[in-house]
Amino acid sequence: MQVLREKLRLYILENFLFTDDQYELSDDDSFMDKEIIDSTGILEVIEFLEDECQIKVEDEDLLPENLDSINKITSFVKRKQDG
Amino acid sequence: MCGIAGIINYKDGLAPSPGAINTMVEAIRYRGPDNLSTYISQTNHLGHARLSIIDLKDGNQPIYNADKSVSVIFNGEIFNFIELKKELFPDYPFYTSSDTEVIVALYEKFGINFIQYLNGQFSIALFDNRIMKTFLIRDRVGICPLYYSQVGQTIYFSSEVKCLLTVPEIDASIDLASFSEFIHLWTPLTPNTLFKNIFEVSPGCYLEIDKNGIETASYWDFEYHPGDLDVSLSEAVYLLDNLLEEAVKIRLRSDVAVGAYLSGGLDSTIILSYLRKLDVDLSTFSLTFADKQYNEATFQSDVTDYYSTRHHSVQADNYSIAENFIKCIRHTESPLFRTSPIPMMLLSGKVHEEGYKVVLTGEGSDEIFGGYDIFKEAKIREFWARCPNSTWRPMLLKKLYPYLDFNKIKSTDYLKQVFGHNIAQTDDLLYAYHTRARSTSAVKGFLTSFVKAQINQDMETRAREAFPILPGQFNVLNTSQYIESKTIMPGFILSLQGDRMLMANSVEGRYPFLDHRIIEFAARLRNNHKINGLNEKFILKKMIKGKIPESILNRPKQPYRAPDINALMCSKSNHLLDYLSESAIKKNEFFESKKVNLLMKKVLSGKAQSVKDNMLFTIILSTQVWLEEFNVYQ
Repeated sequence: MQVLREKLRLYILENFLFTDDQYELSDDDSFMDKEIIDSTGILEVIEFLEDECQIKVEDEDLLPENLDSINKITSFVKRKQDG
Repeated sequence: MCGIAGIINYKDGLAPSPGAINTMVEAIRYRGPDNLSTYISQTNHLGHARLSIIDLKDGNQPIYNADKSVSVIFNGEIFNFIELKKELFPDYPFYTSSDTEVIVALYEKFGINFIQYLNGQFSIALFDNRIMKTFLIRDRVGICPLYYSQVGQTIYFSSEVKCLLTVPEIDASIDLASFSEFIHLWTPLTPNTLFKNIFEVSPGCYLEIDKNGIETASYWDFEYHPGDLDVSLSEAVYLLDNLLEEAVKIRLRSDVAVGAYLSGGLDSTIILSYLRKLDVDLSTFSLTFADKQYNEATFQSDVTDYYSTRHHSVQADNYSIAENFIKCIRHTESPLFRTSPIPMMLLSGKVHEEGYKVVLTGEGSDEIFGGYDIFKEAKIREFWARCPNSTWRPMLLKKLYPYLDFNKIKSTDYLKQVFGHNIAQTDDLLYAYHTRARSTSAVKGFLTSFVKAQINQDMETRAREAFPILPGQFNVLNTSQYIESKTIMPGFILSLQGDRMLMANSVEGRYPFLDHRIIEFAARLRNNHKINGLNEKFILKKMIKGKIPESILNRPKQPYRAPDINALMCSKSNHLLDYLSESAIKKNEFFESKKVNLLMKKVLSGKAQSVKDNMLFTIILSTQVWLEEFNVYQ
């Protein structure tokens, strides 16, 4: 999960914050509260997860408790993969 | 329309050299290629580039009163000049048959209060040598542009900024507070412009200039009294129908042929229905797009078949948008947040090519009759705010934005985050703009720290300083209409996407929906006659049912848009991307090159597809072009 965490962090930093400064995003930062990702952006994140982690994000998974921070996403992916 | 320019100095007088005024007016020759005239006096130098539309033979300006103590140069049209002449001046010794001369006559009779009598679109410079005063007057809603700058005791004015920038003493430094307004509200708040020392005469205002300097006064503003017109819907429909017919009719006054823009939407089709009723020879002009998601050709065909018009169309593709990007910015004199003005320039090119100088067009209807989604979004947010824990109330947003996959989003938490920002603050002037501003203002993250430090983020306070309305004075819909009509309509729709794109090809646009009688009528309607439930422009649809094709009446509203990133990446040899090179970004010291590089990486990967990414890319690229083209510095 550490590899995913780092890949995800880099992806969010580069594609939504347009920076390589690691300090601009902590693992618990809420994407919504910090206005990092909007409603269309979350669809881009899902595409990234499905490509990188070989999981399928179902409609019922589209909840902030699964997708709203790096920590939430990595826990969600782990649960999915442990299935 | 025409182009005007002038230099005024009542304190010290002016040197008798015509060089400066000639240079100023030459810079906007395309606004009036039919005649160029200048006039020099001790205190005023005037220039006029004329697009001849009414009184082709004798209408050259300045126009004077009998003893030549009052003179006027003017850009625009006074549509009710025939009625004014007949009713108020049966014995006045008019020496032309132009609309301009009625301005002089009215001023002699009523003083500066004469403006109230005008029905039209205008930027007027009126000189009264008896009292050594100049009045610079702009129309009620901002159809005709008018800029000015002061250097010492000398005041310069013109139809476009580029005339003022020919004056060596006027520098092109950026006004960062205005840039902040641009990225939040899509336009600076007048009288400010993106140039620090250059100002606009605000719509509905005039300047009084004499040896003591400049005084600004307002003569008209949008007001709302919903329900004040206490009539049934069918009576309101009858009244509106008569008003619109009259508004179209007087906008046909011209000594050259008049065409009409046809988007394929409701408003341009309504105008065509009146042209048909008035038995006008119908020539229509439409844009089509190679990219089918923007193309409305099917609806345009429905209308041209229905009315049997002589139809002309021009297709905008990615390549033509990219290749005209720099030319467009030379005309807009502003960065852009979307490319949509460019196809409008191609369209006016087609109008010019076909030998037309005037087109009727449907802008203004959305602002006046509540047509934009942003009004409905505000209505839903206000409805939701009354019961914040409701799960179904926010789902009404699904009706507005079907492209957002609401079926997939089971939790309202996402909706709350996107649309629920400051949802309870219904008294905010910018209540309707909370969502939009957060999207555009993402560009702040790309600014260098020096620029960012000077960017004002409290737009609500700025809006309260700029607009003379009180919290809660109007309801949410009317407040949103007010802000839209005072910001994006004059600052973008009528100027960057309107006047500038028309005038680039010497074409005048006329706007029946912006006849002030219609604006004042609509302001007294019940709000549910504008937006009924979530049905926008309800009264217009009721009024026009059965008179236009059903397909137009029933189609979902499609906002006019054009491709952004996909088009801008199609420039020849990718020359536009040179403006985003590391050296170009570093040279201007406006954006952080590292961030721009990462945005470019996303664009080149093909993954930058969101509305936000498109807007970011367009703003950054166009700002870079604007900084270079106008030698703008901080």
